[in-house]
Amino acid sequence: MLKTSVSNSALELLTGNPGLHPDKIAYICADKALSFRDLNKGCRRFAHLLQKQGIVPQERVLIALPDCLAFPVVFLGCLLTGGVAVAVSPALSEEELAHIIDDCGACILVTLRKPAVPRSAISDKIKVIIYDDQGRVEVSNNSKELDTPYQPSVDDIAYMLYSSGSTGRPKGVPHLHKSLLLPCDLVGKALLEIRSGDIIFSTSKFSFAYGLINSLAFPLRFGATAILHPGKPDPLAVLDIINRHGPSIFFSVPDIYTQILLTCTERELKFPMRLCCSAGEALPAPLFEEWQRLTGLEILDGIGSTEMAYHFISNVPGRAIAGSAGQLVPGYRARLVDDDGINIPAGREGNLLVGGPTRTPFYWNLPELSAETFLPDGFVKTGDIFVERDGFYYYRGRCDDMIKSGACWVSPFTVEDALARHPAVAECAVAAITIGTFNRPGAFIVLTPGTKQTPTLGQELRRHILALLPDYMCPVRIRFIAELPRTSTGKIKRFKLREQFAHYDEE
Amino acid sequence: MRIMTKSKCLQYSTVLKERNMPVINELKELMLDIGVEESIVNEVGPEQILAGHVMDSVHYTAFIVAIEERYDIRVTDRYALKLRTLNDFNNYISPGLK
Repeated sequence: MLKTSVSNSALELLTGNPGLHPDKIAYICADKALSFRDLNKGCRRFAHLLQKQGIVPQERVLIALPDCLAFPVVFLGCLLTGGVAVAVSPALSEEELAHIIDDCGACILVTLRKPAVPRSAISDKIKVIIYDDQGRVEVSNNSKELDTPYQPSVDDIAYMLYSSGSTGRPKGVPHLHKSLLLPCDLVGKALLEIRSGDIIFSTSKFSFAYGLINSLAFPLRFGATAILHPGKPDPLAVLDIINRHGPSIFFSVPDIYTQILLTCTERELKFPMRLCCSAGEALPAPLFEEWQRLTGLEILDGIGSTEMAYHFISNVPGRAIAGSAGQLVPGYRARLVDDDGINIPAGREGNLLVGGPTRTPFYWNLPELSAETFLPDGFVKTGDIFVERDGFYYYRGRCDDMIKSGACWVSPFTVEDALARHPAVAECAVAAITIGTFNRPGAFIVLTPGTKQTPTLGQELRRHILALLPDYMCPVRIRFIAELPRTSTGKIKRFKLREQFAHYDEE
Repeated sequence: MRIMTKSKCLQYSTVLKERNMPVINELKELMLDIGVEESIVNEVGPEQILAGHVMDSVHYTAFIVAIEERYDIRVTDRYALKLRTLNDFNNYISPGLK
């Protein structure tokens, strides 16, 4: 039976904007720029190169690039061939990269010479295409362009992102072509009213669902311009970009908004943005209020997930409420349920289930987890606890042990494994802690017999973690205890640990 | 909310008197404890902005934790957004030491 064909989302994004001037700048990165015409040409050339490398539709191409001009060329070029673009951070550890290469079965890896991905994680079977820092492919001076873009069928995968799993191993979240296009209509057009005159700056990177739609889909769909920043989004670099390029829409996360506030001494801040948006983790009400007091701008908080491709709950301009993630985005469905799946009335806490047209079809290679997470009625278990009042949703925490730190997921097991490698640690457990408006991991540690709790031991353990893991995973508070709270079956009672951190905060 | 237990307050005031060490220097010691480089700590003035210039968000949160534990106080969400310099921290901590 013939499958229904659908639009190729890359083709839609590259050519679907009828009012577009081809010489208009689509992307700015440092002192370089890429016009819509050159982007289109570059994508078709890269697609041709992939075909010469023997790619066939639905084969995976792993893209380990920072936010640079090469990224949209490679990502969309891949989609034009029918290949599945798998976007990952180039800063992945060797172990994570090796797992992802093995898990997604990528046949081609696209990366930069610098920063180099860990070569030891790359097997001989995978072909590597290197882009230099000017955005040129090193392996070929290919000037031919793809003639006919691939026509996908309705269930063809377009791209895949990896999200941290509760066991610490990243899980693949594939998406259909419509997941790149629908957020533009449902959020970009309907809620944010993005237009061709907008200049978009997202501190969240392409390898995150939030950053991918912000920086790839929105500017191309609306003929706007996006600013790319390949480095870490530290507050001074972010402020410099805002001052130099004057973005009209700023997408970021609570961590960055807080750091920007902490760097400023003026009584009021003048920013060029017409919209400031936040996602990745709940935006604390004091941060919303302080930002509004200093800048006169509201921050539009929203909640989305890698599984749903983008926001399904969001505040809207002019009607944002401090401390709320906003209202359901038209086109999506949500339910708050108890542990038995029974609907909970407004005003009471419940587990958030969400459904909508951009839902991932499954987790890659994880049928059991897929069956557990994606319900037969189309709803997805988000793992978040919310309360709903008057149509507005308020975040209340997680129903699992995952921690959101700096808008990135942290599995407590990853941090515990790293801590346990230190000779002073007999047992340990990690749970979420709030410091000011920052969410971070905190650790409870039982020392090995004979080890003394010295004033410098906490710092030594933090140094140990920073040598093994990214900084956002490092516990900021370390408490030494005689034994960990456990259930009768020996499982760590993490809710007790969270309570102990909360209790400490309230003392 | 600023809370300092009486015993801790007395203990800390004694330490300060004995050492004749201003709180700013104590705060600099804490910065060293959490892993900020000594050359950077030596250069920090009391009115210098810490976030971004001296400490990233990981250091900043570790710094707040170190202050909370050392002085037995709680830095609330609202106040944490206003503590930008060593002098800000000094002003926040000092009333509890008197």
